[in-house]
Amino acid sequence: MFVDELKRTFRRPRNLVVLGLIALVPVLLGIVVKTLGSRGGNGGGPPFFSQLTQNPVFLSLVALTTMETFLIPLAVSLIAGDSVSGEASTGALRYLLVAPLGRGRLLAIKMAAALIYTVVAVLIIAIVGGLTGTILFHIGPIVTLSGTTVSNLTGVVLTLEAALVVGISMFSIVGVGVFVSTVTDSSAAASAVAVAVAVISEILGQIPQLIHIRPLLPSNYWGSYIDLFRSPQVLHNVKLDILEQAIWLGVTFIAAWINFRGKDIFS
Amino acid sequence: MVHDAVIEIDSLTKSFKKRNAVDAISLSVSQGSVYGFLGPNGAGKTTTIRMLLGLIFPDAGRVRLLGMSVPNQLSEVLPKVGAMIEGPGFVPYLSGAQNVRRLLCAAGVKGSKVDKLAGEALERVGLSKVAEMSAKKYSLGMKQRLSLAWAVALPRELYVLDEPTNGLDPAGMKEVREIIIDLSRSGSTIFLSSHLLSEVDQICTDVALMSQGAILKHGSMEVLKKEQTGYLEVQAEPVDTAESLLLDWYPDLKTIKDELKSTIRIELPNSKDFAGQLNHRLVLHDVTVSSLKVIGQSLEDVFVRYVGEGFDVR
Repeated sequence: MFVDELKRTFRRPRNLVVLGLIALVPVLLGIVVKTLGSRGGNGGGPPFFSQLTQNPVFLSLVALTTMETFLIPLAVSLIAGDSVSGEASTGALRYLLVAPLGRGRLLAIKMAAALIYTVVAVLIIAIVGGLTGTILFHIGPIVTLSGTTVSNLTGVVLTLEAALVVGISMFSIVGVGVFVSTVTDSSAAASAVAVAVAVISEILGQIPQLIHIRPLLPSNYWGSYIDLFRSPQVLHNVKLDILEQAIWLGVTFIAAWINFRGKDIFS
Repeated sequence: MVHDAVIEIDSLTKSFKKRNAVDAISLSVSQGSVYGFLGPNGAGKTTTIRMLLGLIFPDAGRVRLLGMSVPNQLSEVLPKVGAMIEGPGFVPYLSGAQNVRRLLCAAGVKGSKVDKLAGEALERVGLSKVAEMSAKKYSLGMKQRLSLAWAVALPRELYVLDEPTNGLDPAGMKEVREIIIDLSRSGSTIFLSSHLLSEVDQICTDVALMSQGAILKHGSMEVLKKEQTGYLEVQAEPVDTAESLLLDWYPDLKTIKDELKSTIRIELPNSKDFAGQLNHRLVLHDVTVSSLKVIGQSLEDVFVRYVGEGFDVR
């Protein structure tokens, strides 16, 4: 059933459109930079932006950085929020449950499919960014944030690792989306709540007075993958990010299970 | 293992916002029967069915299916139950065949058996030609057939079918009735919810009448019909005179006048030659009697007697 669910997730037209749209972002970014150049303004911009034309991996990293705060959470929220409520709204949920597919198993399958979709989505951004960069820019040296140079192969591996970390950083949002989708039969509402959690978390993270609750915010360690590009690597925040995402995922899964196991299914 | 009572419901209760949707109902469905679960819309039939299948949790009472407790032993009992619940419910962007295959996978069927069983089920309900068409393009009748295809895709000991002929044309209804009869002949028990009295009348061996959350009557169809008194339909002129005479002579018997047809229906008492005597008396009072017809006991009469009129009886 899990394989079937994965096939369904990746064959669903809406999910494919979402993947297509997020894959378009690194392409557009590459074309804009190629056309207008990466310099200008006051020299600001996301990390690695000034090196964007130096090596294809930097296009992937800039795309991940710019999309991590909103577009990726939005994309994963759409899928996570639809996981259970989408089945409920079409009436398919009641048929799945009496098939029978146990409620716990259904929830686990839905959660796992949404997590895999999330990881695939960020890997697509990284890969499309890399390919676009290869076409548009030259393959020059990869200079880390510490000023050292790494080989192209190491750069590619580090970029894929970074994408994986970005993907894992979204697990909290996936968890929230799946949980809310057990509460409501409206996919749109569940997705909106998941996106709202991401946005509110980022807003709260900017308020200095809330410094003590920051470690609890799901977005607190977003961007920590940049530390992979130091020499030597500083993995403290990456580890904290993974730990925090695991806790959020665990808590939201338990909450979803508690809600779903005894829920009357009217849809 | 053979269980005499395939469904046992004891004091089952479910309330929504202080309204008892199902009010302490009890009934028992024996093995091999085709059990009609009748009631007007909103009677509580679907809520009861959802409780049988573990979709809704009762506030009080007990349910046992095939000797197993619901919802505690759901994972053991549901593989033996085929179900069609309150109309179709499918993933719209998957084809009919993909939808059935998906449910078969959820039921634990693996490998080439999935395609084989899905193909056979779709063939059985007449959807083979549109099996690969997206389910969202199906008409209501086709979707209803798709639900039935899933319900009968696997051999089961019990089939719970909620309004299986909704949205079907007369030919489709007949086909579905034949499928149900086939399932019953193979030894399975059928629990069929419907508000179509003729449908239940034709295929059910037992029946329960539900209204406003309560079971008003249940038992074998034969016994239930025998309990119901028939009617004598009198066509007479002038019909008003005939009616007032009947009310005078038989104040305890129920009479219904139909002015358009100039007929009066009067409850048939257990006395011999009631029709002959009535004809004689009416004629003596200058009432022209053009016909006297005994109307037999029908499920509709049973239903009207217990549930009342004013809902969509067909």
